[in-house]
Amino acid sequence: MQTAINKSYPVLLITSEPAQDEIGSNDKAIETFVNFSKFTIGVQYGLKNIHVKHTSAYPTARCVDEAVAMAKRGGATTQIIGVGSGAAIDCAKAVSSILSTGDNSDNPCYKQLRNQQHGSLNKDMTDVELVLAPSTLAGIMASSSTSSLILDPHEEALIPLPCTSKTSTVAVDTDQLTLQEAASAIEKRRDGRGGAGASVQEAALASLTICIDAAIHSAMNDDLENSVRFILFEVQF
Amino acid sequence: MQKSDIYSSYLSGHDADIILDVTANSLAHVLQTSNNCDDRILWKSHAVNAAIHSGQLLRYGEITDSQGVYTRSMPVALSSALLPKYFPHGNLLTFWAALSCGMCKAALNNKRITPALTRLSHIITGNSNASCDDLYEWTERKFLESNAPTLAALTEGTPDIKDILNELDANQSFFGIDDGPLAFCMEDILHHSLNK
Repeated sequence: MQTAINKSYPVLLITSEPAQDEIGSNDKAIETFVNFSKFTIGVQYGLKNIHVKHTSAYPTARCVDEAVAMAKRGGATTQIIGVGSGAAIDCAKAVSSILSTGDNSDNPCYKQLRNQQHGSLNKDMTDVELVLAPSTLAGIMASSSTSSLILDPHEEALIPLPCTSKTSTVAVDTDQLTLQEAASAIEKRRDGRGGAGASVQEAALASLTICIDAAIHSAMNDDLENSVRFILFEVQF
Repeated sequence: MQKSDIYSSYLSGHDADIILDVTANSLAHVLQTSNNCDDRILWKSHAVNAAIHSGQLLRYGEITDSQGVYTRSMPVALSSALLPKYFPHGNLLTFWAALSCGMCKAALNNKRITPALTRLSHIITGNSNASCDDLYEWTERKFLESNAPTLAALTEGTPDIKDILNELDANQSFFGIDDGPLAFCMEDILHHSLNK
């Protein structure tokens, strides 16, 4: 992670935190991880904070556009760091993709989501360094996938936005990772606490669903080539 | 930190099968051994490994270099069209977990998929004689043991299956994606997962 970031240039740091009604719950672990990462990254790179808050389970085009605007105002258009859960990771990926297109319009994410539907995604990309430090298994899965999922509140749909960063670095520290046990997830759901994350077992079952889907695609001779990007993983045990 | 393992990963058409095998092996380890197992570091590393590699297997209907469009993964298609509107109580992974038995059942109904599914069954169950039916039984057992919520538990009220299927069609049209024969497969998945 340290080698991927150039300290001479500003960095946009995108993090996640639990919703207000969850503070004090088991998601405290995620909050602790994010705060620790924010502190250490801040000290390491001499970051100055500008706090902006978005409250939704998935990033929306509006919040991505606001983050892009902030990156441009702060001059942090070449280095993006995402820390936390799947939403923060997806948001960081989306911001880096938008910045790599060099689009200077007012709402570039919204436009890009619309453009890709009509097959006119801009292919002339500038390189943006993307560094991701996921704190949950959902965040890890989001880090290694080829697109971000952006919520379109009007269509009530999750729209994929391709991650166009040519390279990205993913740092996973398993000691700091929030691995929620099945019992904890059940208890939170029973108490009606919103945003309960998936348990490790649920994440494994989700992986199984993806595996069976991939086996079906493989049997239908779908070619996976070209739908990929280069990722450097740093996994610390 | 006891150890730092740094590796790079590049998925191509050639090694997609390898990634699939690695994912299957890791997720089977996570579901077969409990959190209290002796080697907790190994258990955690398998959980991380399964997440990393299954993320690489996902496809989102990307535009290819030749301006064609990849078929998107069914979990992606279903969550894109249905998760925010019909299953607001579920997050992405819980929703995909709830589809696991339905996905397995839908695959069983298609004979063309049998060789690929049998191979997956051998890896996951650890039994070289295991059949596709064994994989389905294994998945159902592990789903019950994990206490994961069913798809029906994630819905608001009782959604009409026809409305849900219409929403899937609309989603395809809106994004200019054709799910092709997989649309029938997704119908099977939803019927089974919602117990209709």
